[in-house]
Amino acid sequence: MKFSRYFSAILVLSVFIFSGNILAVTNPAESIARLSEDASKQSIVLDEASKNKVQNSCQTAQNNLKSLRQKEQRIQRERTETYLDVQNEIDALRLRLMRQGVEVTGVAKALLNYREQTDQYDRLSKSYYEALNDTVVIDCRQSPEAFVAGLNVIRQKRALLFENTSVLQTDNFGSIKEQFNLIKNEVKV
Amino acid sequence: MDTQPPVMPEQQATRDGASLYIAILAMAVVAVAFVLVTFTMFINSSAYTTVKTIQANAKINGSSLGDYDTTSPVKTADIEETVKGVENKIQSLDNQADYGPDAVNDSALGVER
Repeated sequence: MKFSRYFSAILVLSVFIFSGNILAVTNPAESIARLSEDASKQSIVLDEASKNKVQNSCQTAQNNLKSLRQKEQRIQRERTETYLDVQNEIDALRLRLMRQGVEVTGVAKALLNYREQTDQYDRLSKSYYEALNDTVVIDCRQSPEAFVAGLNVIRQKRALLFENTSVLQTDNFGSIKEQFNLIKNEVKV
Repeated sequence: MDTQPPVMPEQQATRDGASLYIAILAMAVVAVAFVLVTFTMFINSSAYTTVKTIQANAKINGSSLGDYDTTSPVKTADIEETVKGVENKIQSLDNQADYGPDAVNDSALGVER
């Protein structure tokens, strides 16, 4: 009897604490709220036929998005590491040149722009992941409009990431390369 | 008619003590299960990605170039070699594959409208 009483009391307490943890980690209510707001902003209205089609196909799409979400984590980690490595190599070379008395202000400026772009990449990547997560966790059969809004947000964020990473590769890195081409003439062979 | 012998107060106290230990042990097992489930959920959550991003940012901002050569003299060939090396690294990132629109269009995701 005592065992049952102790067990029940501790179980109730644990469930109370545990449910708090779950809410802290994933809160579908927040995802639904965000996507409902997006659906409202985007003025998404689905006719009955479209709504039925979305409801019937959205769970397959959610499974595909889950795979994408997993892939995104790996991509983001690898890119962040590469961007950091590139930044450090350039910075190290800049310091070596500076010790030789070579003017490296141009490189420093170009590197600063590069770093701002990588910071923006981190922010965009985070919001893209959040959109992916929101769209995956909602009950899409219950809220097809919110699901469609989520897809639109994902596409929009993805396009911004594509633009950001392209600028980083061409413009930002291009500027750094240009600065080193100018410096090459000042350095003895 | 009740034929069971009466329980002595000492015996009852021993039984209560044993029940408490068993209850605590059982709850410890339940707690471990809860922690494992919560941990798995955290690893798969956006909160974990946020933590990783913050760590990566902190690494970038607090970078000390400890493993990089920052002192030896530079020759033209060194500049060319370094620039070529980092260019290869950055150009190896496939933006189209990672963030192109094809992976999220309706047909790729299997969405019908």
